[in-house]
Amino acid sequence: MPHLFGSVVLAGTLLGSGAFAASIDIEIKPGPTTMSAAERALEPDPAAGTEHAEILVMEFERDEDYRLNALYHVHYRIKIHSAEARDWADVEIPHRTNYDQLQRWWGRTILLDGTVLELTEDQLERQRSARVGSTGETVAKAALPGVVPGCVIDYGFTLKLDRAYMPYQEIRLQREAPIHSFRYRWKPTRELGAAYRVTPGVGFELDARRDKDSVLVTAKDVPALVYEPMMPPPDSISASVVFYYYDGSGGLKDYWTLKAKRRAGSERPPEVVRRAVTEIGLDPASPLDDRLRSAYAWLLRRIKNTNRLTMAEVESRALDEDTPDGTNALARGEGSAGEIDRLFADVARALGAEAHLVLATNRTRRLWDQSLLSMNQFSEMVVAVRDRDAAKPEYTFVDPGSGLPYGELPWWVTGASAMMATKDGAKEIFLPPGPASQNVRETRVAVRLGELGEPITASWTVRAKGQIGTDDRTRLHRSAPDERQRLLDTLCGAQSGIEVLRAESPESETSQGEMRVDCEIEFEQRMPEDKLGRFRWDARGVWIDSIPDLRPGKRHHPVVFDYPYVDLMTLDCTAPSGMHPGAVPEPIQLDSPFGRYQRRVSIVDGGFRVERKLAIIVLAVPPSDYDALRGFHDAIARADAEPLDFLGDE
Amino acid sequence: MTMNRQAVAFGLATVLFVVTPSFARLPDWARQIAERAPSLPEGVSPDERHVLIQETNVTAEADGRLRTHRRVAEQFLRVPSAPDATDAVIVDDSSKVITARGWHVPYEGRSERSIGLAVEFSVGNDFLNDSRARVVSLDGVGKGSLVFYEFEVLDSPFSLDLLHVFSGSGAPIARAGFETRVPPGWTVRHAWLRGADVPPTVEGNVMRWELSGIRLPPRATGLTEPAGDTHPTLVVSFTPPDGAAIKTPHHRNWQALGAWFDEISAGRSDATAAIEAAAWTAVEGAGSGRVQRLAAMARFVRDGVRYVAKEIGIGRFQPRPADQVLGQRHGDCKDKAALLRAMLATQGIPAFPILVNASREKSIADAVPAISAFNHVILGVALDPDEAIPDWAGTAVVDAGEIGRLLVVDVTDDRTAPGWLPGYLVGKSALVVSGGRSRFVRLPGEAPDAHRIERDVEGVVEPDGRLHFTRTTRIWGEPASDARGAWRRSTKNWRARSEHALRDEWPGATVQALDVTPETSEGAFVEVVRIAAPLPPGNPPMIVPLAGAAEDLDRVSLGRREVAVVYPHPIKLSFTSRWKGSFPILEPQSRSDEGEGWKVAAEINTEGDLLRASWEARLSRRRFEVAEFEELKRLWTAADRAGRLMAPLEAR
Repeated sequence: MPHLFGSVVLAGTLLGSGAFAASIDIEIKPGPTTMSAAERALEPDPAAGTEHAEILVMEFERDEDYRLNALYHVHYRIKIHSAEARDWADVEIPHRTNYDQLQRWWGRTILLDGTVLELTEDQLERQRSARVGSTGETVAKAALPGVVPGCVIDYGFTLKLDRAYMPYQEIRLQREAPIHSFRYRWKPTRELGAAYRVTPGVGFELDARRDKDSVLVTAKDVPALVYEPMMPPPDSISASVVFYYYDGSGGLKDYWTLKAKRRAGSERPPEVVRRAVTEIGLDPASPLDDRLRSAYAWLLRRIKNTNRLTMAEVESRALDEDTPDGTNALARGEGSAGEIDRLFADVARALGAEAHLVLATNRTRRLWDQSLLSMNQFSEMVVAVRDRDAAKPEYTFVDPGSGLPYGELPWWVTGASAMMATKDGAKEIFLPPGPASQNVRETRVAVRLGELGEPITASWTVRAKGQIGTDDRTRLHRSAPDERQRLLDTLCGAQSGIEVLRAESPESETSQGEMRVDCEIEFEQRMPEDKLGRFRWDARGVWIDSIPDLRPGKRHHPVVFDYPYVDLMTLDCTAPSGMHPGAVPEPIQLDSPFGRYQRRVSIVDGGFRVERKLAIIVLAVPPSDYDALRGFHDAIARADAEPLDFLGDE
Repeated sequence: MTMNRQAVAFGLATVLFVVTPSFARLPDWARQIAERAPSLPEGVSPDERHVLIQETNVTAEADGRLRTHRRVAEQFLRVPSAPDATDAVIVDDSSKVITARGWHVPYEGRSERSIGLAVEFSVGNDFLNDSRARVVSLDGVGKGSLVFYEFEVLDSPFSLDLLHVFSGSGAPIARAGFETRVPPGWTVRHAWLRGADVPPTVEGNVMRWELSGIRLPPRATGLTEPAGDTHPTLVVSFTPPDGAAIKTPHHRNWQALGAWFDEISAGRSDATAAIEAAAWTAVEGAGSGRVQRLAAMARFVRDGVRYVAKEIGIGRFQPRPADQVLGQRHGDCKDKAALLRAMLATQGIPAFPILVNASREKSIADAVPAISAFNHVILGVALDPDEAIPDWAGTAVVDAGEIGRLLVVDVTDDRTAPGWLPGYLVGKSALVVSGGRSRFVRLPGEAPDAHRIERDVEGVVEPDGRLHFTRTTRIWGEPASDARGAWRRSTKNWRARSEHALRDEWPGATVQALDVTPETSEGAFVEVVRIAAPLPPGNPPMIVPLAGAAEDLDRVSLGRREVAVVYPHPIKLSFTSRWKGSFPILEPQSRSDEGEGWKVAAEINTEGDLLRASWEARLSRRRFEVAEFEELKRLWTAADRAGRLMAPLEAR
């Protein structure tokens, strides 16, 4: 399976080597005091992201090598299209009280009739936004005058920052409004290792040039970022610029090699682990995979995961002074998710397997960017194991710290690349999503239409395994009793028009494994009071997750599902009193590259039975397949909407 | 005697052994509370913490300053979500913090006093203000921790009145006291705006109110009353004796408060040549009617002056000069009202500021004049008694007695059209400011007609079974304000939501065109959508002409709800549907239901190849107590049933 997303980056370190541009000096200065014909002609266009405003000029210069201080120059020029965007003229310049100094300011509004309204530096107002002892933060504020739709605002300032440098600065170029012209020159302090990373976008110029001690990034006609449902995380698809300092010397490869080696640790498991493995009593003659699975299950039973305690456990431990002591999770009988992962890697090695820690990102937030020299990208850890003696050694990825079964990973780390830490250095490795069959929800629903004038009731049980309901399961596990009941009510569809009569889920010892929820509800909608010749019931309900509504039109980004899954539902609907089932809807089967859908209706015990099966087998769908996916969704929505038809008894 | 002495000695030893090590660094008041702190409940407490005691004393100084002393003791009942506990006092440039300190006693641990530097953060959403939170933070807090805070602030207020809200910042309060002290000759007036109406105990110049067992209302989602209206609230006003040399404004009655506002606003609504020119520009093409002209000027100010609030010092109450507001094209509510008043004056139209509370439902106590009752300024524009009021403006008219009939205009709310009122003003008591003639009015907009959603569907069932129809939606009042706000924020998102709702109702439908007029000259928000759709799935195929009619009536789940359902405003919903096609003959049917404060009616008939259906729901009441939920369910059921009353019709 291909990686979900990817980008080509321009990256580099600022260490005074390589080929340099002749000069990349820029001057940040006020824009013209007149509105150009081109600026005047700009019109709002919601489709292009210019409904409210567009940024004509956005430029910065940050010199962090200025006599132990930093000089920060900023200039914005913005065309205001709507009343909604007038707030863009409320300028705030935060700086440290008594340390930083506002050295220059200009701000003006240029109206369509040519009038220029200035806000001078002495008209800036200052508000102390925070104070800690004698230090704190002050905000210089300017509400530019006369701002109306059609005007252009132009403002800028220079701040002298006392002994200040930004360890990490990320500027996302694609935002809610397009940028006509972007410039950023960064001159880092010579005291530290400095680097930059530029991620280009599609359909516009983005360039990075450097001289011996600074880098200049320029861009032209940067389009607004288009927001779409089920899109990848904006940070992973937007053009961006990162300037940062890093701990170390050398380039990209050295950085990751060094970090990976540090994480890899010793290949020889500690004595305590080797002894424990002996105690498990695994048959050395059994296949390694069997022994790894047994050891995995033993570990989950043996070690309490302190990241997954129930609220009651957290509470009881809060006043308990006899919490287990010891540096080793095995000795304590408990450990954090990370400790459990590391322990399993040791256990696997003790069993003779090759095992490595794998550092991963949460792909709903960001992807691993190797050109960005920062370990802060990683928020997750899993373990890769394999039998090095197998004929065709392949890694199995496991995450005992998550509590998931052997071979399953939290969905948010799958479908993306991760860093495997080995003694030889970092290795990029793809974490594949689990198959749909791992993530199954099965729902059995009984709907009672009942007597005329009576409420309609329904009860159902949903069982989910794998990734389905992972978040809900974890939240239920960790919630206080009242909060847990509210969550259960929500899972049972508590909303307008529905009264939840019962919402229960058996307490489980772990936050993983199968989740079961039992629901009983009463609809606000009652059966009609008068005798009917015909009654139709819409079998869609809170027991079915609604199919995402994909709008017609051009799609810009891939459609990303959380994980492949299978959703099975059987619904039995009794006939209303004095009525019987009418025509049985035709069976429907839809097959597509994205999944399969079946709906079959039959008559059972004088009522209707609806059997629905939906399998989504893909993780991401490229824009080129969007219309086909939308067609599949529309067909499902239409099939689900086919009502059950009851006729009055003669 | 000996026995007693021994008992005392044993008691002291116990106290010294058990208490002294734990509470040694606590002040006496906190130590007494700590010694009697209740034991922790078994199991997992539903509350993270509770307030054991909250004590506030306000002393009026002879020079008009107010000294506020507050002590709070809290106990953590379960593991806190954050390891720090904080409390704060809100101050501004007119106040001085005398004391701000805290203590922490960990469970079975030693007391620790807060250490570190004074910490302040600016608070509030205004562009510029001088409000700051002086924070005391205690770290390492865990289950069973006792925390204590003490603040003392000396304030030179702009008005000798205050609102005291008995709030534990989300925690229940076991016991709360509020006390006032005044110099000889001063009087204290008070009223409960919300709460148990507990009378004070009076001892000399000290008045004291005590409440116990204050719990937050149970949580509820949707259709709840404003957040500010959920705690017991006391309003207090201090009056010095006649002749006292007090500079701080204080008001013997509401007329005096109105006169004070008039005084500080004097000259702020004076017209200049620029204002007159702006007024003439605004009314150009608006016609000669007063209402049309004032509406044009109101739109000019509403849309042309952006909201920027600078709430510093007297600037919290005093408008900036109108010519400055026009020149800068920004201002807050009182600034915008001042500019509109000045523009109206150039056209010979008198107008009066109206003070109101935009967020609290009840902020006025008849006998306790207090500037803290208000947080918003709107305008009442005098109507010409000889001129008929257009129908569309009728819902915003109020009779202000001798001041005359006024059209209420809120130019701060850029979502609301002149002639209509936003939901947050409906039915509120508001002070029309006119010097000594200042008087309260009840703001209009309480009739269902003032907030309407009218949907009209015209459709054709083609011989091939496809449907083509146009749905026109006209929205008025607060629903129009909501719609306009959403449309202005993002036309793209509006379209997406609108199309999604239609596709949900009509599976397989295609939206062929969607046009919006955000504000007609009469103040309506209008959306026209043209749709093509296959017949809805089903065997045999049918159409339901009033499908979706009841969906504009907001609902919530009542099953476990323990608080009243409060609609933000009354509402009238109507839905008409006309379809051309080949339909079976249908006997005309009608249905109506009504209850206390609501009515639902619907009817359907056919005439030749025309099918006509209509549905209407009127909700004139806003509040349904828990005991009235059955009545509310009757309304919702009736609305649904009327929408489905018509047996779905088969297309032949």
